[in-house]
Amino acid sequence: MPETNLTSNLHLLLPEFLLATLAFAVFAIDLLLPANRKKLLAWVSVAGLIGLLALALALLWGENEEMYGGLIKVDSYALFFKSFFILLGIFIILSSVDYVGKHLSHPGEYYGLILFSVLAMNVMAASREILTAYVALELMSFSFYIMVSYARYNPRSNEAGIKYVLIGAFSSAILLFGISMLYSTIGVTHFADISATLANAGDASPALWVGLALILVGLGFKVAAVPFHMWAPDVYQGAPLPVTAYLAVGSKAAAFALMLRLFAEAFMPSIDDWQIIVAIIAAITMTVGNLVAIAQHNIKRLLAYSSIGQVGFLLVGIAALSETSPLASNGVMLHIVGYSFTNLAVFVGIIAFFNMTGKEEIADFSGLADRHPFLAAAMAIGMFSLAGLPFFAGFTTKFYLFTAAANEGLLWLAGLAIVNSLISLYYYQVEIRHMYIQPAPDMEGKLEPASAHNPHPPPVGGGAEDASRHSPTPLIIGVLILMVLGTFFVGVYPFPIVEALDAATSAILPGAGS
Amino acid sequence: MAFQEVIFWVLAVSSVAAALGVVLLRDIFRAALLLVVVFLAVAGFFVMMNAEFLAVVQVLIYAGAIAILIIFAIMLTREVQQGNLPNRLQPAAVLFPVLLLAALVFVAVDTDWNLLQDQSRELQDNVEVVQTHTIGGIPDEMRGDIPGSDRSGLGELLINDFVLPFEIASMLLLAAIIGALVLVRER
Amino acid sequence: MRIVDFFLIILGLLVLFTALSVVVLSLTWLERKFLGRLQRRLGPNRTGPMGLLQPVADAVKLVLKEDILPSSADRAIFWVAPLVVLVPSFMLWVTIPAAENLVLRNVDMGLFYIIAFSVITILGLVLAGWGSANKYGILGGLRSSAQLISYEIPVIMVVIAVAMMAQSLNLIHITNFQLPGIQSITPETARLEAGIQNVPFAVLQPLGMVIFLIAGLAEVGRTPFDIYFAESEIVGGPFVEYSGAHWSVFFLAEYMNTFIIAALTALLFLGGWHGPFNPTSPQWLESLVGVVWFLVKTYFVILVIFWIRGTFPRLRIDQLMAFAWQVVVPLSFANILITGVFMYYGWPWWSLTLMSLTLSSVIGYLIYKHVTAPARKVAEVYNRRRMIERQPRRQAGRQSSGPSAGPEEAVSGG
Repeated sequence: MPETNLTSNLHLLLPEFLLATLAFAVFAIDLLLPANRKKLLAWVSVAGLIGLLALALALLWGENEEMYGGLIKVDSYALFFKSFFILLGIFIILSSVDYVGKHLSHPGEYYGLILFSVLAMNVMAASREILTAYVALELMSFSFYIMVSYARYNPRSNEAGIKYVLIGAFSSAILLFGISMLYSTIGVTHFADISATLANAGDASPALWVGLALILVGLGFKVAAVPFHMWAPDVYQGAPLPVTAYLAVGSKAAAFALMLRLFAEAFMPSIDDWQIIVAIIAAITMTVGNLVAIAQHNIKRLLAYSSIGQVGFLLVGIAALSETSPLASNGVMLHIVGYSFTNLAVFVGIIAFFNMTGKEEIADFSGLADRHPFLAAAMAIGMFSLAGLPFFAGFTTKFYLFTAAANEGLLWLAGLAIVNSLISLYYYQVEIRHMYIQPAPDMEGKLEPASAHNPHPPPVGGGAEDASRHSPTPLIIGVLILMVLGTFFVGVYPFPIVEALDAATSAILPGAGS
Repeated sequence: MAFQEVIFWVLAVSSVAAALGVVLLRDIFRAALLLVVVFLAVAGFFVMMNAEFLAVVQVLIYAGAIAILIIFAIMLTREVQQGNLPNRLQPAAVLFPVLLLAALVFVAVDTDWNLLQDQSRELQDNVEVVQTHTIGGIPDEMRGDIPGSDRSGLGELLINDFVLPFEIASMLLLAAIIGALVLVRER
Repeated sequence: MRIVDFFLIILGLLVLFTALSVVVLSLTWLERKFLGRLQRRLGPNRTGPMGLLQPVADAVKLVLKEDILPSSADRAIFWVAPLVVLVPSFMLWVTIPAAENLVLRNVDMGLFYIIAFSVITILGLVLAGWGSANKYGILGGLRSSAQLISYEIPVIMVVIAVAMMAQSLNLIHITNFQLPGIQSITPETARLEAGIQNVPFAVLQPLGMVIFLIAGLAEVGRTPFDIYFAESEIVGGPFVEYSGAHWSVFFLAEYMNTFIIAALTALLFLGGWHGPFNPTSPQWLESLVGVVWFLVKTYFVILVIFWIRGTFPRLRIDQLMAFAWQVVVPLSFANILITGVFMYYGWPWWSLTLMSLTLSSVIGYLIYKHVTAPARKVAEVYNRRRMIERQPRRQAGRQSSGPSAGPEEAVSGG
């Protein structure tokens, strides 16, 4: 066995170690705090994450090192996603403070699990070995299984948890089976080795291709691409709202961070074989996602199908990957960033609405613009951006993606994607019409407490929560403002981000000079 | 027919039959028991492939811990004998696995399993050793060269090269334990 | 593998089974005699000299009794359960050496193999409980799976500590490692030997041996831990519906398992077949003396187990589980920790003994305090009340409303 020096450069993993430490610290502090002081845990987590973000940026800027014999690589791609996931964790924690205090028990474990999943996402983006990536993916999935079923006394949450666990285990099995087939035919698991082997594998063996197909299917389940999407609406609807937001943004971003690296670094040499498959899956995914979304009445289900549609757009970027052009890779990452801001804006708005009313049907949003104009405006901005209107993030990011697809000769796919954007505009407009044009039926019904959805609300909090029933808390408003600003920022002036993306892309696709 | 081949066919037939039983039986207690049979048969396969360590791990973790956990859960469940209710997706549920099976059989038959590229030459040599000795047993003097047949090699890999996934797996288990507690504990 | 080898293996298995049956017969006799001695009784004394034929008579009675199948039982599961219990405990003996050259099949990771196959026994107990379609049976099955899985962990952890020191999972290597002057097995072992001094592991790891014995007792369900077939609570648990030959199979398996725990303690901690008088010249003599030493040590451990049975009352199920997860499991991890520290820094061998003894005595003292806490509380309350009664009237009048109300409750509760 070649002697590798495992402890050199260990400081490069300091953010991961500290993140794990932070999670343990949150678990430990949770034991010491009295029940009415649990909000402190959120602040501890947020402060820790901010510190980690600063540390990661200071420590890892410009680093390009392989560690553990190539298991993971600390490069600008990893750093980009690390900062992205840490920021995401901060926003998710901030937007769930009120919700957790009101509707969920065991807050300490909740924040700890969010930190665990952020850690897992970091490793997923950094890993260059397929089993490491798989284990990290499992850690993220496990954290999500638990958080999805966190509302214990809500049958929908339980159902969502069970469905998610079963589908997740099933897809993991498929993914592992694919990995085993890959390994049994080419005998390597490092991305670089896979790429080298594939480049030489002139005569394809069926086991190899079936292995690749199974890996694709397994990842397809994880991101809810269309033949494998049926779990998404139920899970999105059943999960507690902040978890749904996290699921829609975080798990997708992490899975695509992994996919992008896997396809760019490992599977690139055989792109001619899988490009068309991914393209077809992308086409089906966005079409089905957007068409079915039209028929939804529940805002969470609507967003579930809309996020399936967004997965289709992201898959367009994967299909358009190219060894010589950074366009597609940039497009995928930019779309992830823009989609996160936008989707979080919508979700935070819904969380604020749910905290006030305890309702989540589309019809319940009628007349929201009269009562809470800012909330309605923020959600409307988010939805316009999701639909891809100019000046918002969605337009810019989709523009990048579709240009990449057209450059790679996938014109039909780009055209279909544009048609799908138009379809999506329709159902977002329905929601916006409810908020702005339809009158509110009666004010009394809107303001009843959330007890119908949560028969056993924990007895945490008192007078402060009563006030928040009639207007969103300043915290939520602050997060919302940040998200809306982010949406505009990505939409109008994306160039600083694109610069970072270029560096990230050159880390995974060295041939793609911009 | 060699003695080892007889054992192989006994294991193969019993594992497939038991696996079918797991899927088809209505009494889930018996299905769980047949699952144990499948686990043990797989452990037998590992022994035949000279992976004794994996065989023992298979028995310890799957037949020992997981199967007993499943049975424990079944014993705490009501209406065990009734099994699943039939639903209208049954034809699809038959069709899809049959297609998958066909694909996998095609793959197993059609693949040239010696496809190993140049850069993993030494691995290929090892595979040849394993293949020529698969059923007869690897001679002791060759054991050290083959990854997987040597426990200390496996242990060193786990705590040297693959220490990172190993540690993440420990975090994974911790998350699972915490989740189980959170979801079950009252208060 | 040739046909001759195959028949040799079959022959070996038959010899092993016969030997084990004889051992089990001897154990039942020994247990009754020894318990009788502890309780100032005579024990069996009618059948044969000193009641030596009593086990044979029992066996004949059991075989001749009617085998009853409950009408609502799950027939297949009911009949297969005794086999599932017996076969693993028999399979373990394949790899347990009675002397250096006297082992059916020396598996290179025998210790791991033993742990893995002993777990399957639990399955048999659960099956027996479920198959009998009896509520006590199912209760017993549930209890057995909870108990055995919990105590499996400390057994594994202690065994890991032993394997760490011997650098091997092979039982022959581990036993030989405890003999001074043995040649080293691997370079790593050679480095370690300087520190470890090749004394029996009982000296190095007294804590490990105690944990192993306790958890081992729980694994085989000997008396302080026989909660899963406790006669007075659940009338035999999984075995409640069994009779005749099938019941005797469970009985056989239980005593075989007890013997395994004793034999493993002898091999892992007491130096196995090594002893002060051990000729090396003719091989048969060496093996013979080795077997004698092995049996002496094993039977000594067996007597300790019977002694424990005669001394301690049965635990409650909650005490049992709490003891496993709060005391034994953490201790077994601590045991690994001190072994690792000891090996990493290469301290002299007595330092490990010292650490082990310190740990076990501290924990033992804490357990003692915990166990005797109710009795101490009673005594304290009693003393305080006596003091109050002695005090002058005016103070008693003030205090009777306050603290003395509590102690009275405690007395009646205790």
